[in-house]
Amino acid sequence: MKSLKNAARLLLFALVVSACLIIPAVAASPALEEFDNPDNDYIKIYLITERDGQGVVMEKPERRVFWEYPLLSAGQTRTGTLYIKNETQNSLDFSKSSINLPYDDQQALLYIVNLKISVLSSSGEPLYQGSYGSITESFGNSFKLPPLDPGETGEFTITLSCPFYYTGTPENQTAAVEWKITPSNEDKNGLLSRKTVLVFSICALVVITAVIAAGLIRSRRAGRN
Amino acid sequence: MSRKINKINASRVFRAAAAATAALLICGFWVSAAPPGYENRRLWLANQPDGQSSYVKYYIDGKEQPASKINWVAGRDSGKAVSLSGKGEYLELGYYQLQVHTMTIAGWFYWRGAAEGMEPETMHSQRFFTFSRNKDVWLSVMPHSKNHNAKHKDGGVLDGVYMAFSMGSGKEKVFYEFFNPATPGKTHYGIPTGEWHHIALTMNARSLCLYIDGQLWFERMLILGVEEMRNNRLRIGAGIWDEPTLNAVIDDLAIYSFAMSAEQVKMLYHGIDPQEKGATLPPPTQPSLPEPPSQDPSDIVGAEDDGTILGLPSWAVYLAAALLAVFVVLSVILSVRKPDTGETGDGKGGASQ
Repeated sequence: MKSLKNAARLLLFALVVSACLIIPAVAASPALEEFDNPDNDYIKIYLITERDGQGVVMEKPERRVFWEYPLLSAGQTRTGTLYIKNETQNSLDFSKSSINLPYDDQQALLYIVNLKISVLSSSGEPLYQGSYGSITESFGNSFKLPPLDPGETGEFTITLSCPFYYTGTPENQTAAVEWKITPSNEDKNGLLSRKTVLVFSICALVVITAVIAAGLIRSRRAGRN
Repeated sequence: MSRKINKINASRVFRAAAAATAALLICGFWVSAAPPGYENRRLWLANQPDGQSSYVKYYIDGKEQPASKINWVAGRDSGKAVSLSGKGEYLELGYYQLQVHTMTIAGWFYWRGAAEGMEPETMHSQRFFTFSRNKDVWLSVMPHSKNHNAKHKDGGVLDGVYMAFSMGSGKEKVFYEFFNPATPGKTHYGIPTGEWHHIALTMNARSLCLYIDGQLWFERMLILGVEEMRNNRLRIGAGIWDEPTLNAVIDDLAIYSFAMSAEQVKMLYHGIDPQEKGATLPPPTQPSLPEPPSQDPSDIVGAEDDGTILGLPSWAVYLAAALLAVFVVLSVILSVRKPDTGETGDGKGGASQ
């Protein structure tokens, strides 16, 4: 009898602890005015918010920055920063994000294949280094945007360079490269989403009610006897 | 009579031919003659430990060191390359090996930027090589110089590869600078670090040309033979000023006693020795273009199994359901089962004796 009671207590404890397991993340965010500067084509931020239960991705600036529409001449190197800010209450995963090259434009592909790109994390760790034309093969595999906790801002340094041996005219060859940042609720890497916590809270509530009900039934029976 | 005339003519022809041959030989010798140390018009500055020219001296902080102290590391291919740490190390070639009319210096550099323990900005003071007679006569190439006060005629500033030529002093001074106009804080034209790049400089008594990765980068008319500069030294990895030295690996670097054409430089870039008989450029190759990624079955709508049930993580739902089920069963058992009263069975007290 005692062991049954202990088991019940243990289960209750496990459910309550699970429900309370939310670790808020704190991160610095860059000043938004910088992104709206008309001359800015080298920093971009994706703000991920939640409206009516739906995730909304807002990008600043809305126009393309240099890595989304490369126009580098031979020997030229450009460096910029990509920010992704999680303003939702959930941990976000970016494994569904994609980079789409202009596959139907051979001239543009020839130019983009020549370009070299490096993506570094805020700690300077290289996430991808190589041909811009091969980035899609690595993106989602060896090169992944790391998940972000609520309130956290991801910072990535992007460097693009055109080789010295390039002899074409970028203006006549280039095309847009689409960076599609797609957040989804993080659920596979051990962090708990808000919905998960909600499920556990409801379970805990049901269990507590059941405990009280069982106690009442037992005390009534004991009273009768 | 006619025989005599014939004899005289033959002798004249013979003499003329001999003179012409001698003149041709002398001329040819003058054209092809190279100072000591050159073999097949080439003197290796950095090639292999056993192929290093004895005329190339190794210095640390201005003091000559034995060649055996040169740090050889893995090169671009299976061979070895010279590693300069950026801490006072450089190679030097002396006066006699620089007395050529036209010349080419070409080789591969794996630039590493600022040396370990040095300020990052020191990378902008490093030099690939410098020819110099004195502080007024010199020619130098830098991988990435930075000076936003140096304005380009086209409007940009200096932030990238830099070449400068200086000759004379005072009013007779000739000074040429070469750099690409960069936009401050946005773009630069520096040699990328951590990559192999081919650098070649030619002087053919008509023009001065710098090639990067086989591509003509800077060119200027310069009616001047190298020997007119009367250079005293060629320093690899340093200048004649008190500056940080080069932090790079150098492979297959040589000075040639002739000025290569653009095509020959391109051959070098493609790993072909332009001095070999029948050497030609390889046919241009088209890089393979990326294909659109094939659609992943999990991306097809309807076939999706994203690990969720009703939008919730499936593992969380299963765990919650299991815990609930266990708890409900336990609650039912606790509620239905009567507490022990000692009236039945052999409970505590053991009743009937």
